[in-house]
Amino acid sequence: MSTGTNTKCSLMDGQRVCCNNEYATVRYTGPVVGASGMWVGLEWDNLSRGRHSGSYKGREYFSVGRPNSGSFVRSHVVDAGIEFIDAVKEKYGLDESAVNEEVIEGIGGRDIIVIGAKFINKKQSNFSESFSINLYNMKVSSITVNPLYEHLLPKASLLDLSNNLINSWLVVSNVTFFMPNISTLSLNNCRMTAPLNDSEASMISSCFDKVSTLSLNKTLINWHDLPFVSIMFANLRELSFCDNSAQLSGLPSDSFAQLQMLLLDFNPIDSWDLVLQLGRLPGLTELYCNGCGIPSVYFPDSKEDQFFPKLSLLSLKQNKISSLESINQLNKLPRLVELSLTANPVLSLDKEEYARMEVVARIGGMVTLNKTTILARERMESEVWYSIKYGTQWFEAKATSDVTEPDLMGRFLAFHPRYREIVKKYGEPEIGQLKKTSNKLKDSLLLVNIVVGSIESGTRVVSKKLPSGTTIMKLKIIIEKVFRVDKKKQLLSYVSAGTSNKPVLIDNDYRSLSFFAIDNNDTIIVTSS
Amino acid sequence: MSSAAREVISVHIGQCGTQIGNACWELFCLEHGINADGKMEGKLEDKSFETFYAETSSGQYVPRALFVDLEPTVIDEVRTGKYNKLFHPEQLLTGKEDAANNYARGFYTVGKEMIDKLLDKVRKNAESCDGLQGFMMFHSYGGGTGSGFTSLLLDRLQQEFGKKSKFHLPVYPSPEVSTAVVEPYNSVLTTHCTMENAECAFMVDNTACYEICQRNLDVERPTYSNLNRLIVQIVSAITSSLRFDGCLNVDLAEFQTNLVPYPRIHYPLASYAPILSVDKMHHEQMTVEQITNAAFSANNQMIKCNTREGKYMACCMLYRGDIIPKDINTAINQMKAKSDIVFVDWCPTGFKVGINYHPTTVVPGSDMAKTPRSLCMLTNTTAMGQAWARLNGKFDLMYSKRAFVHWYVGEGM
Repeated sequence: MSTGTNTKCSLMDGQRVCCNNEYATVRYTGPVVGASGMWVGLEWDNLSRGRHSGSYKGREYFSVGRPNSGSFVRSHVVDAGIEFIDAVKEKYGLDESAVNEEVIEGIGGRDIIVIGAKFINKKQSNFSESFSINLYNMKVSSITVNPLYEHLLPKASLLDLSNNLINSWLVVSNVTFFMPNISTLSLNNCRMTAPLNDSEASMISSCFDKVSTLSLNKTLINWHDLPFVSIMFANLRELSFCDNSAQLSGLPSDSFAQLQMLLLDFNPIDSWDLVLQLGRLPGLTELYCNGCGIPSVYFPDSKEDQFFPKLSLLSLKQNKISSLESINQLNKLPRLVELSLTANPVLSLDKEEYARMEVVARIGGMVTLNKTTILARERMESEVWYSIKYGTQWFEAKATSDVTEPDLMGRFLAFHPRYREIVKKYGEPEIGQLKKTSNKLKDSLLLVNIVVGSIESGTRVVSKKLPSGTTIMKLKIIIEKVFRVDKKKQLLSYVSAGTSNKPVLIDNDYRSLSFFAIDNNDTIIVTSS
Repeated sequence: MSSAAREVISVHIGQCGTQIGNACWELFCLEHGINADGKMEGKLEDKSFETFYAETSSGQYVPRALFVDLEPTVIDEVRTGKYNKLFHPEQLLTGKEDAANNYARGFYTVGKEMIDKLLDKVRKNAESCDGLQGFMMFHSYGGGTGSGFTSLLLDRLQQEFGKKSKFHLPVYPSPEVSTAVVEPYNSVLTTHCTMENAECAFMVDNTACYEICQRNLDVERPTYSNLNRLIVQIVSAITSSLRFDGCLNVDLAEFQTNLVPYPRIHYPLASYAPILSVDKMHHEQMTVEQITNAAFSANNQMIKCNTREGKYMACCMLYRGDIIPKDINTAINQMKAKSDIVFVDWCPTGFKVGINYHPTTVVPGSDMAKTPRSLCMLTNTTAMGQAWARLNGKFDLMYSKRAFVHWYVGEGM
């Protein structure tokens, strides 16, 4: 609960506190006109706890970042948190009461037996062997250097300080006094409110020499402050900067020189320009921008600037990419081998399997799409399918002369940059493959001319449109209706259109018109036996 | 905790068993710091891994495993693969003619020529053990070798090593990743034989794994390699107490005591949490509450069945990694709030919860991310009957028309 009798003095502006399980930042301590006693003005993380924006009865006491996120509380409900070393001892310290078989009242009428608690506790309380420390949600607010505990956790490489009350990078840097070999640090949900400047950042930087992985999700750190982070963590390999409502902008050219993996999920990125600026990072091999609302992707064509020179993995799930042009642009990345595009509108443009084939064909060097490897056979099938799909347009573009549509080929190649390459690999698509077969019924009807007797006798010729699958039985019924010739007495034969060949006998009632190769404009001759 | 070495011999049968075996030993070597040539880096503190590895005079660690298949292609890949120096050539047994997805061929015709060679090797391995606990077999239900040959092997092991525990990890056939129409036949025939002979079976369903890969790991079209990497995390979790010093389920007999109330009801359902891709892992917190919830959800089960429609007979939860006993209390309180955990009245076993200090490892290039803590839950639930009912249904459909029966009759059944 409260940290002592002098709570009024010990709470400082910008301090992070916990109040009834909600986190807040102290913005004001002192009297409030219109209410007795001393008050603490808080800016809550959770907007629904706020009542106003720092004013009470017309007087302004403090200002808040987001409207209506402030309120006044009494100091005794404010929990200023605990020391790092106390949290470590509380969580992992030796627990004398631990036993190796403990029965806890159960569920469903059965007891729950917890085995080995004492054994584990003994191992974990041996701080010299601990490899990972997790202090999630333990209200750690300060990390004070205590000579008694120097290098308390020499083998610990992972520290999770997520959801705690730390607010300053200087404080965080003291962690290395206890954990000299820390390599993975997580500060998710910690609001670093204390500002930083270059000299402080340089001072801290030697502490974090060994940190290679840093997680700063939901910290609301400003993108503009990232260069300071880069100075403090000079050897950083992986940075997770998700869900920070970050407005991306440029970074100084020497920032994050060692960075290989960058996660920016759930930050609002409404234009790819903002991401392009990250293309200067020399070592970046993996970039994740899932759920950012990115509408499209493009890369400039310039030869001097190498954008994303080493990028081999790009993850763009759950964005708003809707045009195949973005896919074409991804082909420009020289080293891209793995791409994730699930839940983008561009994959719903066509049937699922066709959408995948289209993406595979358009990006030549890709090896893994949506976490599934593209085997050589799949690549071949996709590229051949792609060449057939756009084959008609290709031939049209080739066929047009320079005068009428000089730009048709240019436009075609702009939208299909790999087409030439694919045609070189497999040859042009066959004309026969390009013919579109119509599925409409009216296109598969045959026009037949029916005549009784013989053609020359000038008798009535009736023309009928029939499906090519009509059985001869049905044809005889129709002829009976039209010409009143008894179907049992009909003898049918036909003459091909435009020829004077001898009529071909139609002798099987159970076969269809197409069996006899009866085609458009043929004449069917009816004689009666 | 450590006593006389209690060795476990693994036998990998058929294509399925071999491919799982590959992934399995790859992961075990990473967990224990053993290189591809069998040499170990660093100091030995915990000798518990000697249950699964034998030490040779040259300081090499050789897995206590046998790979057997009735045709050579799959095991040839082991012989020429990355881990070929890890295994002794005598551990890799192949025949010439395979079982053609036919239980009868695997059991009678082709199997009987291979079984004696295999049993020879098993005996040799067993003699080199100080105190053999038992055997773990990896195979599929649907394949010919995996079904027929496994039944034959279990039969003979029962005769020779009757007192030793025999555990197996069968892969239940699934329509999505299926290779043969006669899988229901093979599965039912195998289950009939192994029901009497095996002490415990950790079934894994290809459909469930397939869906987990698609949903949790964002893999568009999972292949066997994706499925196997997931399955071996379960295997690792189940055997973690056998290979590291821990308190819960430290030997095979304890599994039986905790999970198997009656000899024929020995099919626990395995669930694992968290199963996350690398990017999801970076922004999920993975607290004890979250992973406990996830393990109870149907989305993380290795067999597709609805546990809400069944009752529990026994439950074992093994947490791994950075968790303290106090966290377990939080998790337990959460579990209490779940009113849908109902136990049967006729069974005395209950809930056992343990922690293993060693965190999980993942194979580099795997879709699953390495997490600081994880949970493997083994529950013996009556809902498993649903999986059997599905299989029986398919069997009945085919058998009522005597479809494909001639293949089995032709081999002497």
